[in-house]
Amino acid sequence: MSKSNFVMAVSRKIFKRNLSPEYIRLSLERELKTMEGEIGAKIFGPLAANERRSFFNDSLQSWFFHQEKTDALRNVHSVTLHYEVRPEGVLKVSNKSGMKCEYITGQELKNFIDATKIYHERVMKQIYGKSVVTDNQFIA
Amino acid sequence: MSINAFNIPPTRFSEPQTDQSSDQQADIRVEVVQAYDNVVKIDEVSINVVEPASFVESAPVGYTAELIHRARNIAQAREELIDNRMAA
Repeated sequence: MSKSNFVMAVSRKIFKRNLSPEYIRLSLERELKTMEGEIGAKIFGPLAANERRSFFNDSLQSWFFHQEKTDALRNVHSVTLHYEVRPEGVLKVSNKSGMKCEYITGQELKNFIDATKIYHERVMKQIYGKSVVTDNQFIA
Repeated sequence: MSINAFNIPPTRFSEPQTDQSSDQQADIRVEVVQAYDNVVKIDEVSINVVEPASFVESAPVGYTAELIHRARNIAQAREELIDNRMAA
């Protein structure tokens, strides 16, 4: 049974009606971004037992990095970074107070670009079955 | 917490930098982050933090177009897969 058929079948059971195609589309998109985020997380190396991480592309202009660490007292510390691609640069915005809202530069910018390149190659291949031939082309 | 996920190339970006010099700026940033999807507010604040000179020195040529291109490829692949699943 396909994913959308499964969702609609569950919907009929629970809500006695079909979910809208738009709802299903958004659910599938969210599911794919979650899968992409798991692949993106691996770009940054192995995870510790007390660590969760996600790195994913959200839209043409937006990339997100999220990291959580649980300390010995079981307190969860997290940071979310939003990288917004603009014609004049990549603006980094964080949910942490005290962190600069700024355009990234230098090594940080290079590493970000490299991470998106790795993400692009892995996501296209592992989820969408397309091999990136060059940075500007891909094949099915 | 020490967030160390950003300082080892090529896969990590940088150590997040804190700015203790201005509580007022920090307050403004918090406000921005809480509403980061509000483009107008981000624009208002980014005016104060942009450092064009250092940016121009370090920026690879055409990299924003490259980033947009990658995102567009991924978005197209997503759409195709979703369309296929919806049609199934």
